[in-house]
Amino acid sequence: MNATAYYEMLKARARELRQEREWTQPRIGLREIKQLCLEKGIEKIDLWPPAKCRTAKKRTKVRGIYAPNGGRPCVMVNRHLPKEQRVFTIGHELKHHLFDVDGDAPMLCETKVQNNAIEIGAEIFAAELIYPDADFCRDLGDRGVKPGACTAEDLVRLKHDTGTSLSCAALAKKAYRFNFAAKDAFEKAAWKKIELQIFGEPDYLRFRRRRTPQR
Amino acid sequence: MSIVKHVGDRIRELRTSYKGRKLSQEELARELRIATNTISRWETGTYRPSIEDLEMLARFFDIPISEFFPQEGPPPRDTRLNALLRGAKNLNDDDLSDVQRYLDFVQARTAYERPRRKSQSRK
Repeated sequence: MNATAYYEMLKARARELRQEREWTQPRIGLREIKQLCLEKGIEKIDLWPPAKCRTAKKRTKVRGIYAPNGGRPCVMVNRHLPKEQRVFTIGHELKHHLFDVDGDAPMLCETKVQNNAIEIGAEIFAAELIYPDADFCRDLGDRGVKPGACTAEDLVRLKHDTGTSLSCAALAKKAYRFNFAAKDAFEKAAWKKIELQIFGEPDYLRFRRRRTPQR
Repeated sequence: MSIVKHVGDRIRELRTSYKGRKLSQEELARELRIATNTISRWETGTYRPSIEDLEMLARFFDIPISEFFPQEGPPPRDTRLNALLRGAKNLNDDDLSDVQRYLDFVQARTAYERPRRKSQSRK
């Protein structure tokens, strides 16, 4: 099987899982994806380091680990990741659980995705599980975005309006793949800044600022 | 000897030989921000520390979590580490040791978990 066929097979499986779970929206919560993993035989999903370990190193390049653990598989998710990236990472590790188990060898997923079919496949699977390509293309098309003319603002608006759990960076990758934008068009996009410019300060930040006493 | 008693004894041993001096229960409790009573009850086996508590202690004493448990032969670390080193190209030593910590944690949890009780069906 060549790489393209392999990736298509993974995407088809991701869509099947969405159908099984009756997921129709591109917004998948932590609870939903954890539930799916538990149903598929993953025993535990651990946020790492444990909350009690205050002395733990803050930053690590490891996003997640899939550990077969002698038939009692566990998934580690980096506690310091934002919620959306946690969802994505769990989806990524689910792919390893479903397709890549090789004896008892654990699988590591770094913040920088390795350039091999297994890891790229896991990224594609997770992205499709959360927001299928067909839905992405349809939603962008519905907004009047033409191939080659997609801007960072379009993606930020898409994310905001659909409420998808995919990050803007992940949406950008989809946009490249379907030729909505030229390669590396969003390389220097400051997603948070653009979001702030378009939608203003989110409520939670405003409330947080109000509650913090001014000095 | 029960595993809880063994773990309690190991905590006491580690505490009383910490960096070549005897760390009091109060000092350890202060470092870990928990109650002194808790340390005492862990050591006597009155309380069963959770696996997360053991990870916290392991990090404090800078040992692998497996050192709290009776050694029943060496864990199959070599194959696991080789697999990790094959997969991890951009990780530094700290990242790898964190990965190893997690794998040890998972293995320790499996060994430490209480056996599940069989649910009794109603007649």
